[in-house]
Amino acid sequence: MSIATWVWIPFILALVTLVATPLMKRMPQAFSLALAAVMLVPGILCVQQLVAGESQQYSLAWFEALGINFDLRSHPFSLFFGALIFLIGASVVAYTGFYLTPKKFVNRFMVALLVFAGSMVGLVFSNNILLMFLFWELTSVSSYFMIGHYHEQLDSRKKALQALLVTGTGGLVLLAGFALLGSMGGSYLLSELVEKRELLVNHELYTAMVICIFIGAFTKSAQFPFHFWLPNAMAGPAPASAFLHSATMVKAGLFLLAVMSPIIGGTALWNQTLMVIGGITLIISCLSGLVQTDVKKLLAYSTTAALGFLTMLLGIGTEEAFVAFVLFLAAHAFYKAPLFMIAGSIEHHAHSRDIRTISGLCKAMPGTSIAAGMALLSVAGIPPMAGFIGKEYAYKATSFYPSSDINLLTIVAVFGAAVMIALSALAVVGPLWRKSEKPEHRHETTVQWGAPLFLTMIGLAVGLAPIWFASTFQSMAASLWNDDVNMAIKLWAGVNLPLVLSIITVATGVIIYLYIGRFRPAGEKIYAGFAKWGPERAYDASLAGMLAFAKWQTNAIQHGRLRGYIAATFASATALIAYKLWFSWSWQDYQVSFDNPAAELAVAIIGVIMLLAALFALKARSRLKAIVGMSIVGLGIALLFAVFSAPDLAITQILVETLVAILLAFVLPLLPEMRRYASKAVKRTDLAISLSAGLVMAIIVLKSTSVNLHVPISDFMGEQSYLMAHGKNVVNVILVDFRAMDTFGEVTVLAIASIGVLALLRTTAKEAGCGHKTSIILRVVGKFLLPILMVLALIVFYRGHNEPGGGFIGALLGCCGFGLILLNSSDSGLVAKTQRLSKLLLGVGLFLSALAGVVGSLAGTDFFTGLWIAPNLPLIGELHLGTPLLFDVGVFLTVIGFTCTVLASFSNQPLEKEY
Amino acid sequence: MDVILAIVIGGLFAASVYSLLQRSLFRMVIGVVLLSQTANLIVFTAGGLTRGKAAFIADDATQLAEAAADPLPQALVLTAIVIGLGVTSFLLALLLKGVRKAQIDDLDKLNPL
Amino acid sequence: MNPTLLIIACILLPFAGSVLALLGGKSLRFQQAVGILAFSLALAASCALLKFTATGEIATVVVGGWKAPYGITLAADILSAMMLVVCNLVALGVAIYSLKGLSVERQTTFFWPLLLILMFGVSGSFVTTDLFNLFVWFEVMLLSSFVLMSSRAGKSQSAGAIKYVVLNLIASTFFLCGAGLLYGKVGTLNMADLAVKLGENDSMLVQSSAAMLFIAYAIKSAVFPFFFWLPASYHTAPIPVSALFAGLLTKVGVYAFMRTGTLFVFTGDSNMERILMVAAILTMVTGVLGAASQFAMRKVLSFHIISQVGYMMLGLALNSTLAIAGAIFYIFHHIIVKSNLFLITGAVEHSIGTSDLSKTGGLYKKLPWLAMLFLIPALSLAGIPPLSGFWAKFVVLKASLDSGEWIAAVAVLAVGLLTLFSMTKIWNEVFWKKVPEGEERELKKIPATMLAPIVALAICTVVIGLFGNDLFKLSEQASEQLLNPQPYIEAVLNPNS
Repeated sequence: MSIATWVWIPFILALVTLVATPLMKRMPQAFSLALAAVMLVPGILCVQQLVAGESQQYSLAWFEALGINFDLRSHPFSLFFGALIFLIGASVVAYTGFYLTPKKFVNRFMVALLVFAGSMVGLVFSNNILLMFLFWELTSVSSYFMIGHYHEQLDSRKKALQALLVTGTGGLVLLAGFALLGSMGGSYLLSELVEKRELLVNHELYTAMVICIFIGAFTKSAQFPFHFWLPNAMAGPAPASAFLHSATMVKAGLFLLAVMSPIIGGTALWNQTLMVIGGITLIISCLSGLVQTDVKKLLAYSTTAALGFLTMLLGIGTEEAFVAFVLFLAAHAFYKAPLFMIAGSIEHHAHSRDIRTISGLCKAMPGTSIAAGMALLSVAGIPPMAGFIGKEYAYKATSFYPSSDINLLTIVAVFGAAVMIALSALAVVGPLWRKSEKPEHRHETTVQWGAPLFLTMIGLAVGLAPIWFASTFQSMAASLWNDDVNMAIKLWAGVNLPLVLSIITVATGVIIYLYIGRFRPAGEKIYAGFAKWGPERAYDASLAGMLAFAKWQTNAIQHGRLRGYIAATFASATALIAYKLWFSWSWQDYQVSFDNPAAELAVAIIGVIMLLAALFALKARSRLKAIVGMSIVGLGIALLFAVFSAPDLAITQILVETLVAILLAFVLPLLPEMRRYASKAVKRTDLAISLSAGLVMAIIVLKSTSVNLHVPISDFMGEQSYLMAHGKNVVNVILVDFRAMDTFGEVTVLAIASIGVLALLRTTAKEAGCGHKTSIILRVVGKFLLPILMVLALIVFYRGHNEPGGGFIGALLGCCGFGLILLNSSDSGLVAKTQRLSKLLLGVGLFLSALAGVVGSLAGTDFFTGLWIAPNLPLIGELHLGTPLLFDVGVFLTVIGFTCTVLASFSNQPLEKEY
Repeated sequence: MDVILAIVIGGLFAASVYSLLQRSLFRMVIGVVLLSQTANLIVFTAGGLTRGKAAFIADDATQLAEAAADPLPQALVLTAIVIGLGVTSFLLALLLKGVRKAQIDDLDKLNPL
Repeated sequence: MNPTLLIIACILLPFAGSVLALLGGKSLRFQQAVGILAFSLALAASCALLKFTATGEIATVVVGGWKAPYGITLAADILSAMMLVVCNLVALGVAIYSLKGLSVERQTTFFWPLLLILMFGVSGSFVTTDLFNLFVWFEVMLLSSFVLMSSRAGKSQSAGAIKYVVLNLIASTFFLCGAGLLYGKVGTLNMADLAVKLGENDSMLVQSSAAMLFIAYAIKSAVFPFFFWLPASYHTAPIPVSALFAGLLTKVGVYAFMRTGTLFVFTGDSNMERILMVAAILTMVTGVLGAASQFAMRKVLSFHIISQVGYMMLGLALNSTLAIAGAIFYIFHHIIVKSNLFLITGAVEHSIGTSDLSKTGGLYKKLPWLAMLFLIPALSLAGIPPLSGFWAKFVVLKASLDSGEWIAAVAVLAVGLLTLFSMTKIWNEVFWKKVPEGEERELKKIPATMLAPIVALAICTVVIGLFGNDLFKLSEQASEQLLNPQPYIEAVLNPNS
């Protein structure tokens, strides 16, 4: 079986579980056993390949463009880990089926568990560090769902989030580390990076990269100061703890450090950090663990202690240390997982986790008790359990470092190991074997005790294995070590220093176990005192601080006052433009010239009037005055257009001003009187912002008139307008031909605006049109004027191509008369009719303008190409007809539709106030 | 010439911004309208100013005279004016609706974000 | 099919649909049919266009037969085509969702014509090569979005709409002025021509005008400190409208940044890139913190749009092939994911009547499949592998590290973490938590037409995550085209050679 298959198996099982949810719910136990059986297969294969010394490589192209491919490989150490995951995974899967019920969503938990198992397998077999990261993150996410399984409890959710955020933070930092590593080494493949150790270790970014990787590994493996999440993660169901905290999740960090050792390890930074952090974690966990009374918390602290121990061993980094690392890792996995399962069973049975109250469960759970006994033997390091040999070599490693004397490391190790024994004993001995008054009936299923027992048996096998498979262990250690491992690995090495230390350890452990009860009350006080300043507080504080800051910042920025937004927008915009102007322009570039004083004076007078009008509008205390001021400004602009050779613009501007004035005339009576809000201080900042914005604008306009880099493209239009586009009014030709696309968009905007007005000012028939004063004279005049205006409109429209005019101006003109009628009409039927008609006009107008474009495409030329025919009609003579004209008709109709809609809608508003 | 227009533009722009910064919805709408008109004037001015020579091809000519005004900025401004008309009419409808249906006038009391 | 016709189809299909829907306004069914048909066809056309441009060729339409720079030329390179594809995809999804996800009353208030015309504006923006024409497209898009947001609005919606409208009109003003000033200085409006003509001269002289465009785009794409309108308004619109806006509108601004930035705004002005980078980082951070401070699904998601625009801007500001490819990939992924999250919010609201996090709860128990559907885009947004967002984030991270921008890299990571935090907040409050006391109600069934787009977009997210290599390669190609715009310029200015 290829390793790729191994990686896929748990994921496929997860998918199967997801699909077969109903089946899973009906018979969770059988289903879980079946899943477990499947999981066993690759586990056994891993062991077989490990013993046979086989290794595999696998590669499948994936995100090649990023260098992330499905690169897998197996080496003895990863095979060992794979076996660990599959074997422990299988028993946890089986156990889960009996531990959780369908009512407690065993199916959902199982999916998360299997995804987690798959991610772990993927992680250990990844050859590509980014692929490894991918699985790394998946373990964090899937464990989030496992820890938070009892999600209706607030505590559960909090602890799951804590685990996710701590490991997630580490994960992200690790990603940065991996990205750096990849860039530095020019490859993401572990098998290639290992060749580049010299380069990497001497790289200038080495320290940064190593620190990133450390943070990733330490968060995952619950090393100080990130260790707090692990005991808290006990909020999850027991199987989660058994799996996450024994062999998998928390060992992922160690796995990473181990496989990185031959690549970037061996430096002083690497070794010392690991030793120090590992040691601190070990001591802190031991001390914190001793005051616990919760079964699972005791085990959790003994787990973090073990993790610290292992990290320390990696830090030692000698041949002995790697051998010890492998052995101790195996031993720990095979006793910690059963212990967690046993803890789960205890909780299940006693509905409590307090070691002080539970007792005498051995009668109820004899099988479980046997498993517990076996596990404890291994914890204590009694030969021939795996724990014995693990500890033996660990002491060998510590006591040979740096010289063969007994040193600080050894003392720490002995102390830690002793406390670990005490912690495990505290967790299970009392609850199981302490005398109890209550008679208990046997109450356990086979799987409940079988699964942990199975694992402890494996532990026994591992302990015995060196007798036959010493070379296998050597090869495992060798894959973490740049050299061959020649050290002999034996179960019994005779009476030597490590054996003596082991005996001292067991004795100390037993003493601590027996007498800890007396010191607990005092210890709890000290512990509580320390917890106030511990890293968990830092986590809480940073979370709370972040939230407080977020709140403050959002209130400061997104405060809800539109004025503030506008002010900030203009202030920042002005600052940016001014900054850019500062560097790109100086006053010397510009020469003031007054070529025609009379004209200058005229323009100046118009300008002054406009500015005064604007000021008037600002100062006005009534709406009407403000509007008058605004209109004067608009007319002034029209006048400027006229002065500066833009008759079309001037006419349009005047018409638009008129139309807006009419609309305002409809709106004004409906609005309440104007109020003033601004205070003096606000006024001052407003003034500063607006004046600086105005100043910058003035300068930038001045600058633009003095910069002329190229001949403008409009010269071409002047040349071609008549010859190619058959129009003498160049502005109009540009609108309907050269830049027809703009006009197309422009009429669309008008159509949307009319729809918007219709939608916003939609009124029911009942409220419509009531209360408008009607002037019969105006109505009659209006009715009389309408046809005349319409004819005028058509004329203006037609001549627009050669003289001032065109679709837009014509249409506006035509509608002015209509506006007069509406202004004085109380006929709501007319309004409704107009609205219907104008919708049609809008549609047809848009359709024709688009058609004018498509005709070009259909005729085989470009979109919107002007196609012309010149029929010779009687009476009129030769006519130039072309698609631009059709386009203009479309514009004409749309604008009429727009004007009518808007006028009708505005005129149709009920007068009485609704508030 | 340019200087005068630049000053007018600066003044109008300042006035529009000031009007936009008012708390009254109505004043703000005035500000938006003024701003869009000022923008039109900016585009017009930036395109170059020519007096008394509209961009028409003379009856006896086939091409635009050299000295004629640049027609392109005029076309742009025309488009902008029309778009501005659409926006303004929509804005007035929004104003009407805002004031009448939702009773909005003080812009500081809109919604919390 | 002829690539020229494909571009025209992409623009005109929604337009024609809109006109039809407007004319046949009486029957809602007709409008719905037209809308969905138009979006499907537009999606097909844009896919075909993408297939054509993926070969490295650039499709052009010389509108009116007037060659650029004199006339307006439409052109589509890979970036344009990619944007068209993803926008049409989301629009189609939103359209289908709206069938049942939007009240009939709303739908008959010109919803369909406006939705279609909005896409007309969006599509036009992606293919035009003319600066002023881009302004016009922006206005089409803007005005239709105004109407979509404000029609049938109550007080809170009107308030949101007013903020949205006014701040965006300010953006339009800056855009218009910038375009006008550029014409005054350089005498041309075509962006390719601008690139050529400014390349010859000292582009120092147009920096201030370019800054106005910068501001306009910054407002449109909600970059710090110009994003106020977004959180103020997006949460007030009806869900399908919010979903569409959330996915598309700011990204059109980002597109404009990319297009003009690589052609002429940033060329020869590395200072502007620095400014953009600072703005991008601040956008990421303030956006994500804004999300952390909110307690309603819609508002949280709205703030996240801002922070993610920051990522895209960062990619652009880093200005390497990898970084811009990352930004493009990011846009593609983000549009799908963000729209989908809004649609899911709508489903939650439909089902329990609220998406206020203090009132929701218990949905994981009751609607596990909806929970799964939420997790996919949510985890993708947070950048969890192997979903699409991870690759996007990773590329931007790698690009920042490669260019030695340590602060940017830290921001990328920290904002990623906070995004995860926000997503778990929603997850906790909506799905995991028990239903709060007094908020228990009967669940309403979610119609299939609302679920189908959610499922489809979730599948897209997963597929991009698992098989995104080709998409990334495409993004890389698009990025190369942007950074070496000579072929694009050539194609625009000499379309026949």
